Amino acid sequence: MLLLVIVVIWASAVGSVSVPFSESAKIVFSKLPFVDTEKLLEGISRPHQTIIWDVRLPRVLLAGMVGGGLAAAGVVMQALFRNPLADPQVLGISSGAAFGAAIAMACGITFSFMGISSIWMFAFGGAILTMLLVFRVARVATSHSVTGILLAGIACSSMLTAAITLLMMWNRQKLEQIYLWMLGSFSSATWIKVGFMAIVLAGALLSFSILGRDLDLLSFGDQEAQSMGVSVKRTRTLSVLATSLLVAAAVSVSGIIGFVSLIIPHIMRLLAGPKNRRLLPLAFFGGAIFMILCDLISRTAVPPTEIAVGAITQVTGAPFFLYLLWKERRKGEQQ
Amino acid sequence: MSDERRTVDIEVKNLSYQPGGVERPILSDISYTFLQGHMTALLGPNGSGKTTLLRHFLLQIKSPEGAVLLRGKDSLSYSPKERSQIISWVPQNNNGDSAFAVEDVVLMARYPYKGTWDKDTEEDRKIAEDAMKTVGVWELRKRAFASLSGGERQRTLIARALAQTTPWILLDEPTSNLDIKHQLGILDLLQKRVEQGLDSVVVVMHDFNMVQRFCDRAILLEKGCVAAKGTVEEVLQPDIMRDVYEVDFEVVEQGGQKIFLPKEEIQKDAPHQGT
Repeated sequence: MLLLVIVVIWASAVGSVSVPFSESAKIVFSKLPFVDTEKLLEGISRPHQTIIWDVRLPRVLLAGMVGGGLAAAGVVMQALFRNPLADPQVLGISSGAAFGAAIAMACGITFSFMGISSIWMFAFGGAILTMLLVFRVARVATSHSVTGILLAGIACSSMLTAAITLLMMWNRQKLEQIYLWMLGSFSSATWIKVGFMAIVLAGALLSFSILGRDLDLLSFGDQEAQSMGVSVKRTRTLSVLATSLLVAAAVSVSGIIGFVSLIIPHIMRLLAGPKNRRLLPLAFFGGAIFMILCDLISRTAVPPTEIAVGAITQVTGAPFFLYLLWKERRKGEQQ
Repeated sequence: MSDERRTVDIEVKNLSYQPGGVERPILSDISYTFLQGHMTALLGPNGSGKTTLLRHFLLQIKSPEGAVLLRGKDSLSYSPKERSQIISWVPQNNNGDSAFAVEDVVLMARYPYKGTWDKDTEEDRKIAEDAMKTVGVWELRKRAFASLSGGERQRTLIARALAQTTPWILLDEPTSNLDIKHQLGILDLLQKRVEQGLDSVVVVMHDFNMVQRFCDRAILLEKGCVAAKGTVEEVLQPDIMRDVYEVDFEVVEQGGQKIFLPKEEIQKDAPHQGT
């Protein structure tokens, strides 16, 4: 937690215009209530204040919330599906968001309402519609079973991916824009996006904290969990709903950033064990810090261009994960 | 744990169950009272509806109104947590690859007594510790459940059921994965707890010799109907067993106990009768 605060301030300080850590910290803390703003900001130039407060801080906070949210969502999905490969993307929500955004871009729909861009709106709408479709199909087919949701999600996902490809083929001049959006980026971060993400995130994390113990028991299967008093249907509905909304929000503000929701939960589980009530907060903080650092690399590695943050999460995350697995296996062999 | 809780039967009244798309009912018109303070054997060939009957008690299958009464009240009137404070369940097989340590698995049984935000208390830990020591998995407490052998898993799940501190324990073939020593150990333990008035037990078993030795009441199912019920003595009659299991038995009397020796199947497609 403390580490996260330090990382947030540090990441805000680093960039093409370098601001000292102490100045960055002062600017961040000056906005807290009950702080003497005037005194703290003494001697800090206006441009620095603007860079930190209006440009970098929203970006860093958004990256942190998306990273933490995706990681927590990953923990819940893996527990719910009892499958280490389950991740929010299999629900088809990311593809729905991408499809919505692709339509907005391909058709050239560009308007803005209260600081909310059309692409963002279309992405969130696409994600929610996909989610409703997946739920509807899953319930009809197999009375809300876990496999039903999974299969419906995968089917919707590949259908939508194909549709996006077609959209890109027909609008070649927009191909690059759509492709880059799908790779994910935080460069368009604003305080409005931060606020929107914070509200959804708060709701989702609250649901997750209610579910922690239920998810532990579900690792023994629906029937056994039920025999110990878990309301399986309630747990399942609440967790899928909260995860879906969270992922829809995350994807709509930042594009599809792969891997975080899959790998951070695994890394944290190797470090902290399987108990979901301990794992969830750890995964959240781990995901947040990881994403902030990846975003930092994406905007500072080759200035002034940016590398897609989705590519960085994979390039840095995968080797580390492989290393942990290898170490774990060695430990197993020694025992 | 009031005394009141210790004095409830599980009553089944005219229970029938036929899910959609199934030709014949899995359970038809079952009426039986599982008496508290007894160790009741639930007998019957494969597919006779034993597990389905148990699943009604666990609310895994919704029973018709008034068909299953717990503590004199319709089972439908209980919330999942309330129901879990009355009946615990030891499932037949567990092939789960749960990464949880044995002690955490046993602690999970305290779930029905917990609010959403409650932590495990000292009392919970003590109950779990006692349960693990009772079935002899205390030494395994740090091991991951997935790394255990079949017998160790089964004993862990029995410890979990004990830690749920319910007046009723349902066990579905609890000894199927255990060697003879642990079979005797577990059944002896259950029998002692019943004698001490701690628990009432319903156990699905296929071994008639074990049934005679440890159980005092029995109900025999055949194709979803009650074929016989009463004391173990009354149910384990060679002619009844022959009809239900479609196997000829040679019965040897020894020390006041009948020993069933299966001879040969009567029909070609007779169900396997277990050991």
